[in-house]
Order: sequence, then C-alpha cells, then structure tokens
Amino acid sequence: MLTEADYQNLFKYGVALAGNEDDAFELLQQSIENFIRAQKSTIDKNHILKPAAYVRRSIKNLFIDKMRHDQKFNHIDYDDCELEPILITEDHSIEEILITKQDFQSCWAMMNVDERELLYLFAIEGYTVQEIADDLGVKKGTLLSKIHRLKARLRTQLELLNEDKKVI
Amino acid sequence: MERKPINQHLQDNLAGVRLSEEQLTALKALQETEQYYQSATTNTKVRKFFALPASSIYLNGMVACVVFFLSFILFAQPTDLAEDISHEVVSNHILLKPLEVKSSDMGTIKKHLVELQFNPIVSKVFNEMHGRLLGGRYCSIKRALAVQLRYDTGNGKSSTLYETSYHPKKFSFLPNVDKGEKPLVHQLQGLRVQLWIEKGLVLASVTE
Repeated sequence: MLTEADYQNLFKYGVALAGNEDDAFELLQQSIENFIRAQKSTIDKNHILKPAAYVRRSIKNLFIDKMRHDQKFNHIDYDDCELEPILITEDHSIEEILITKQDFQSCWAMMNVDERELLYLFAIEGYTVQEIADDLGVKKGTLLSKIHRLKARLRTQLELLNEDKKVI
Repeated sequence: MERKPINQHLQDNLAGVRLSEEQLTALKALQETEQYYQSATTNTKVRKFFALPASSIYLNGMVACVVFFLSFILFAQPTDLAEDISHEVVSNHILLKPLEVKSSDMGTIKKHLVELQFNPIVSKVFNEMHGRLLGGRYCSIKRALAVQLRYDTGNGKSSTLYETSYHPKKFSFLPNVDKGEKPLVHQLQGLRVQLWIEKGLVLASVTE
C-alpha cells in the first residue's frame, strides 16, 4: 500500500515531468486509480511488488500519452537509441555539471521525458546507475549511453546559452 | 549568478513541492472509494472457486453463471445502486479535478462540453441552495457520460451538481421532482448527497 511519503514523492515526480502542480496532481490521481484496479485484478496482482514504482511508471505513461495528445511529443525510447561505445572507466556523474538557476530552466525545458526521469531518479531518489537500470528495466550499458548523451547535450546547450549571453 | 550542480537545482526546484492536506485527503478518499467498488463487485468466494483444478471447469462455469445472475439481481437493487451513485459523486466531489470550462454562464459551459448527449439544465431543486457557478467538466455516473457543475457556496466551500441521461431500466427507482416527489438524501463522508430525476435527466448533488 502507498504511504503518505510515497504520495509526496510521486507528486514531486509528476511535477518534475509535467512542470506544473495541476497536471501533476491529475496524473497522480489517474495513476493511483490504475494502480488500485491493477492491484485487484487477478492478472496483475502478483506483479505489483513495488507499488510506488508501478504508480511512477503509470504517471510517465499517462504523461507521454498526454504529450502525444497535445502533439508536443519529445520522447525517445531507450531501445530506439543508437548506442555509442562507452568506456567503463568514464565518469558518468551528472553532478559535475555546474550551472546557474537560469541555465537550469533552459536545460530542463530542452530535456525529453526520459532525461527528466533520469535526472529525477538521480537527484531526488538518490538512485545509482544500476538501481535506475533495474527500476526502468534497461541494461546498464544502455543507461550509461543515455547519461553520456545527456551530458553532451547539456554541454552544447550551455555553450549556446553562453554565446547568446555574449551577443546580448 | 551562483553555479550549482544540475541535480542540486532540481532538488531546490522540488523542495517546496508538496501535496496539500486537501489533496492528500482526496487521494485517500479515492482509495477508499475504489476499494468500496471492488468489494461490492468482487465476490471472494467466486474467485476461490475459479482457483479450483481445470478438471472442474464445466461445473465451475455453470455455477459461475448462477452466481453471476444472482449477483446481478442482488447488486442491481435500487438501494445499492443509489448508494453506488452516491459514492461515485462524493468521490468526484472530493477529487475536485480541474474544470474543463470555467464560466458562471450555463450557456458557455454547454457550448464547450459538446460531447454530452443531453442538454444540461438549470435545476430548480439545486437552485434553491447553490452558490455561484464556477464551471463544468466531463465525468461519469455508472459509466454514463455526465457533467459536473461546480458551485462556490462561500467560506471556501463548494457544491457540485451532476447531470446525466435518464435510462428507465437503470434509474426508474429515483424520485421524479416533476411529479412532486422529493429527492433521495444520503450522508456520506460528511457530505450531503441528493439524487433525483428532473426534466428527463438524472441529477445528483453533493453539498458540504
């Protein structure tokens, strides 16, 4: 059963994805409805070992559906990515990227759903790469590629932002 | 400007994000209401019965049919149906999902909610007690498409009125105010629920 702390964390997750509290609350409500129905159904009953993770996935799926509906879809499936070779010794921490609050807003706006989720799981849930891979059901290597690509995109975005500032 | 790790920014952004007490109450009510529906529609004996070996599948099938029809007869009793509708509208009232159209004008609301297969009315019964109309949204009552009209009754309180099409087989047990009958009244979760038929529509109101 979901605890009050779960509700609060899931709400934060919803806000992280949707960018506002109204949409986040609606996503959370619908996801909890889905969870309760699935919990009672004989098919899914034994598969919901982690209720919070189930609701989080439901929030993400509903959000993607909503984005599709609104035709603002910017989701890239992990399986669709062309993976770049990643050195095991390479540092994959995102913490090293230091930015201002203003730049953060710009970077956040350009991130797709998967990238926002990734950063949320790192920053708010405090998960390791392996834990995120397990949670999302993807291979660790796939996730490392994703982080690598995200960092590269962030650096490019920050360079563009800095150039804009110089022009101004 | 101060530079911080990107994850720190996200933590700062979400630090103040919290569900309000009202939202938490609504989510808990949602669970309670959903559990109510599940317990009303799921017979545990039937589920255990289906867990028997496959060799008894034909017998299971026959008995399941009998149980189904008996359950149908039992659960289709008007009083239970009225209670079901009351729980459903109370749940909708507590959740306060965002309005699809915000307007104090009924005409404007009708124009926006084009999917409705009936013409929403201004109820005489509800008129006596309601406050200022805030707007409307789609919802459902017993799986039928309905409209929720929300009213501000002052002091931070609100009332909701629900309207849906009248189906004689489903709703004939409800009192018809056009025939001088008085609405059914229930008290649920501290809220007053009224159910009635008016101008050929099924109406339900929830007041705090």
